[in-house]
Amino acid sequence: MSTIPATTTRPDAPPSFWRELFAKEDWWAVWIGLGLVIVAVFAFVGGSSLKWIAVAPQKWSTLAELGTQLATNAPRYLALFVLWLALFGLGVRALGISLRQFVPAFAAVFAGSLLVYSIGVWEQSTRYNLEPPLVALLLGLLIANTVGVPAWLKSGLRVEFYVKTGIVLLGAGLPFTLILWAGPVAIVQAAIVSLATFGTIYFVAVRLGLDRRLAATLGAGGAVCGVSGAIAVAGAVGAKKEDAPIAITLVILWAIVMIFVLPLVSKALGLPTGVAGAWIGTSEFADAAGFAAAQTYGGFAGQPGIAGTAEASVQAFTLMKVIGRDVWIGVWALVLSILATTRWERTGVDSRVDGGEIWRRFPKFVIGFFIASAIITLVARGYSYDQFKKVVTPDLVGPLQGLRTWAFTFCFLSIGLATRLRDLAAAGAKPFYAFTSGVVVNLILGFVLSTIVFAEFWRCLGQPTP
Amino acid sequence: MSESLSARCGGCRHFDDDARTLESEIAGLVVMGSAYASVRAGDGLCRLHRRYLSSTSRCDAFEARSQQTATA
Repeated sequence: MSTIPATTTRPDAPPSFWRELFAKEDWWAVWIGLGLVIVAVFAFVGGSSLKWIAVAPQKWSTLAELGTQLATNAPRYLALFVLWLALFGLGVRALGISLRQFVPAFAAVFAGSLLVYSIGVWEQSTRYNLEPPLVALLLGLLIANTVGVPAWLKSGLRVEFYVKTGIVLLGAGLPFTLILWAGPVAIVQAAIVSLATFGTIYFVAVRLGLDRRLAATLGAGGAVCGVSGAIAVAGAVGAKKEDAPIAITLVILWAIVMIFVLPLVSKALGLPTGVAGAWIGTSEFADAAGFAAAQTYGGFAGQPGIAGTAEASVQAFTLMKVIGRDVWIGVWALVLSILATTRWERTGVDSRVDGGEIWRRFPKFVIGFFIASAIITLVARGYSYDQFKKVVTPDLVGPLQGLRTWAFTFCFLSIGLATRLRDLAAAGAKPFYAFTSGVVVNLILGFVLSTIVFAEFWRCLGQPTP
Repeated sequence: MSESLSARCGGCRHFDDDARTLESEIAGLVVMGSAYASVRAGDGLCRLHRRYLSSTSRCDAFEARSQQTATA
């Protein structure tokens, strides 16, 4: 005789659509990002702007100069801090994270981000390659792996929440027409690389004698969307408890290596910013790490031998990673789940899923990214290119880009502070070899497609009329 | 299909899908991922089988989670 819960809501039923709108980080990133975009649009239409609150450190050469600048703008920084704290605080509270722990932790993340941002605009920073993402990452890694991060700070290290909010805001700077123009190419390029990378990792892993579910988890981590891909596929195929941490360790290690390698190799080769962004989008493993690499390379724009705009690097990365790879995670999960239940060895658990899996695992923040792009494109419809640069960019798009840079800086610093190497799971030699074989294929294929096959296409990004 | 297979892991007492627990037990998850993300859907850890599963999975060892149960 079986038992059923007497409550009206079955605990095994999927969460309702309405409940999910406030129960998932992705949706909160949408609400925060789109809320800011809508407020910015109303301000712009009313003849005002968010410029005052979207404050950022300006170039400085002496500490006295920086101190004066920060003191003068102190009320603006305070307002910016309160704004971010209120928005993210609302989100984490709804997710069930203690607000009492989050407030001091976020204050520390904000202060650290202000420090990193300030270092990035130091007059000599270019000379020493002190790009803010790299400074944030190195500073965070140094603290986390030497003196350690105090427990109270951990609830403020919401890497994914910050990066997803930044991606929604990034949509405001990417014309919808550009997404329609570049999206299909990004999907084709990403599909080729994702299939080849997944196939390589899976094949090598199985040949090395690893379990197919671990092989699939490793493959999704390398080919689709890093930690998110690994965790989604691990759940879909019913992997062993220890499989996801193994894949996560390898994703994190390689993603951090690539944050430094991809921009520096691209710079050494003199790749245009759009081309380098496409390569980073194809060959980085996680969104947060990829944005760090793409923004770093964008910072090289204008240096001798580096053609293209700073924005083109981040835009190409976004098209490739978010549209080309991230949005397909539900399809990967569904297909692999079917294979796991019909073709692979039985585990005693039936993990079969239905077509709804594609929507359930869809990274919903992407919806906010598209809507933000559509809103700004509509608002800017009546402006010529010159007017857009003179009016819309400084008063509407610019402040939103400024807020986006803050969200990404919170993210980059949080990656470093959250990465305590000794806390990661031991991956073992075989998973390492399997994953690394995929890294090699991914890097080479991504490079060939970005710099040769579709090079002209990616080079055009950031040009006045695509 | 046996009767118990009609119930899914999401309602089983062996299944733990609490986001805070997952972030503390899955090493590295918070570094570049999140247990609060949409891609996780309703996945969680099965303490019985020691597997990371979708909440829609099923097995013969199902035991209702809720204290408020009624005999069917």
